[in-house]
Amino acid sequence: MRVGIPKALLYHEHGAQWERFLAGLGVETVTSAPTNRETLDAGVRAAVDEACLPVKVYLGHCMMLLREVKTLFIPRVVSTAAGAYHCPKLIGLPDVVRACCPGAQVIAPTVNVSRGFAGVTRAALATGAAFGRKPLTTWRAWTVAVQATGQPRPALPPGNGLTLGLLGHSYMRHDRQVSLDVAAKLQGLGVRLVEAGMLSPACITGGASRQGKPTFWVLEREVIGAGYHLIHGGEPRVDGLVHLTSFGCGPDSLVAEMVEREARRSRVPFLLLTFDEHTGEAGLTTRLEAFVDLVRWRKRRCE
Amino acid sequence: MRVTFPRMGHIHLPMRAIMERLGAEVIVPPPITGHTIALGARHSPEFACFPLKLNLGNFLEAAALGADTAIMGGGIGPCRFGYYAEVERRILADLGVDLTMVVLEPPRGHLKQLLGELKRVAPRHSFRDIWEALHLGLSMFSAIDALEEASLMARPVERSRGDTTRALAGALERLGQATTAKQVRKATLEGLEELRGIERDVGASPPLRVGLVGEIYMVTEPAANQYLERQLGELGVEVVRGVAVGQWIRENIIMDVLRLRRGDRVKQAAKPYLGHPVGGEGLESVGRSVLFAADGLDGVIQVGPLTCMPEIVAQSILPRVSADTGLPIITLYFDEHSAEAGVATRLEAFVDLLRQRRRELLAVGGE
Repeated sequence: MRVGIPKALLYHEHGAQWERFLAGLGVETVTSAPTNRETLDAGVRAAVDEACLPVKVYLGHCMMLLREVKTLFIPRVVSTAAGAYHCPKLIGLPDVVRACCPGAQVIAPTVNVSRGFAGVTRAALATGAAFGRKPLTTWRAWTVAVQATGQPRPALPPGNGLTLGLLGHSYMRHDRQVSLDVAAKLQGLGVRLVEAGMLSPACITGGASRQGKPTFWVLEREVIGAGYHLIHGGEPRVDGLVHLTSFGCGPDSLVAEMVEREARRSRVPFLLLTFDEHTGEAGLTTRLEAFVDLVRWRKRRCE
Repeated sequence: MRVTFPRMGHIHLPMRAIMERLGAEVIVPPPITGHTIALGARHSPEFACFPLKLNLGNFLEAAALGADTAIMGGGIGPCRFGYYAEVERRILADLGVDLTMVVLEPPRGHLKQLLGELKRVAPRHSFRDIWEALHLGLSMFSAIDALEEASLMARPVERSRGDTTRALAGALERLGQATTAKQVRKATLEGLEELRGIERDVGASPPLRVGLVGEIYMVTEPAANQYLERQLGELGVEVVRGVAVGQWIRENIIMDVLRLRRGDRVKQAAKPYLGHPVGGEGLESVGRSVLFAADGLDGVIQVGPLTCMPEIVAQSILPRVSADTGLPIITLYFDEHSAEAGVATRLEAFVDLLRQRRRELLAVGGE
């Protein structure tokens, strides 16, 4: 049996781990190709209109995989941090796929650490059991996968040009189709980008501690922590912020507002980019060039 | 301290009763109008869900009338509601509006914490006073549910359009004047008697029965849902609520505080379609639709604010429920751009479809 892994949503956070783990269990997997126009179209057709873009993209990946496999690996990731949850779309993802992609068989172990870290181990063991593996085999495969895929923090490339913080969920920033390659475009304009992954957990927690009530969404803790840290002059220093979000994103609708207001209060240039399936590249390029020009001009004036 | 709170259906009646019982001066936010909606939307994040915009409209209008404190509910997610107070506080601060937010986080077995927050608003009162005030409020919440439910059964068969709406308004006003649990009981019984005694249209066929599920604020606040229940009633439809405030309070707060396990009939019904709660009323929307199908209702309407995450999850899944049970289900999302005419058209079409379906089912049954 071949199992499909959609290259979307939390794949961008945990995908390498999942692939490694399933390989360690002796399961043959196939990961979908990076998002392209066809993926997007298939997803838009499968989803309800009101679904956010990342969910549409995910369904697109599922539809593409279902051309060659019947079974999909879709963990139900409820929570990966104590006291915090993922967004409802992620929690309900396996059920949404079952409803919107007829014929799909879904393996969906529940990952819930909101009341203790054993939730991850339990999910791993449930996955092994679903494939008929013994608990010890499963546990070994999981441990290997976690160790093998631990990544060192990426570093900011050297240089002294314009530096901008790039905020947003990883499935926006790292999906070159969905984000219309914003990161590469900015780099092409001579900009160095600081992303949340480059900051230490201490910096992110420090930034987040400036909140009144902490957000209870796992991914937003990183956005707000990194955002506030950079806004208040944390290292590495940035000249402005670019926030990537998608049309219809619930948590971002509130969190992006909070980050923008904080940036405005501290007089840090801030650009919010909202993507949906109709976003055109020309308009995006214009906005990026205008923002970079303004921030450069402002920097020169202040020096 | 001049206290206000958000408007949602008729919760302002028990809220005012509780606060006044605790000696606070209460500024009830004016009923929601187009002005409230525009005001709230202007100062809210564009893609925030509708209830936040309405909350803000209420707070701004109440502040203009002299309120200096706002009581707001809290939450732990994953629905956005738990983060509303934080965002609203920030917006009000940036606007220079002097309104202190008192946030009531869910008790979660921490009743003392909730009472502590209430004591901030009513420092001169003992815990016993607060308990009695809450008891009065709770009895009012239940009374409102009962009166509104009676109106939903009366309206589709009323002989003169508007009789039920007028009777309900009168009953609720009398209820609002009650200051003891005994007076609440009296007002409720009188109101129920009046609603049940409304002159019926003798020739009317048994009304269609349509279940209402979805996000609780949008189901409860008529100004937010284009007076959906009234429109349906006037189309001759009996609305059966899948979610109601009094019921919600009983199931989520009281049971929680008493650490009682609530029945998971709804969760079991949803299980084949949605295997985990997703926040808000997402799971309820699916589960109650399944139960409504089993109960033989004619249709279900799912209601929510535009972009509501739990309801979008439910919406993605409800077509499967509909296909499996044969129950017609439609979804209506509302925001500040919604208009009564558009909703009226969709409702008329849906009701026509349900009547046609019922005729066909009866014809088949008769053979």
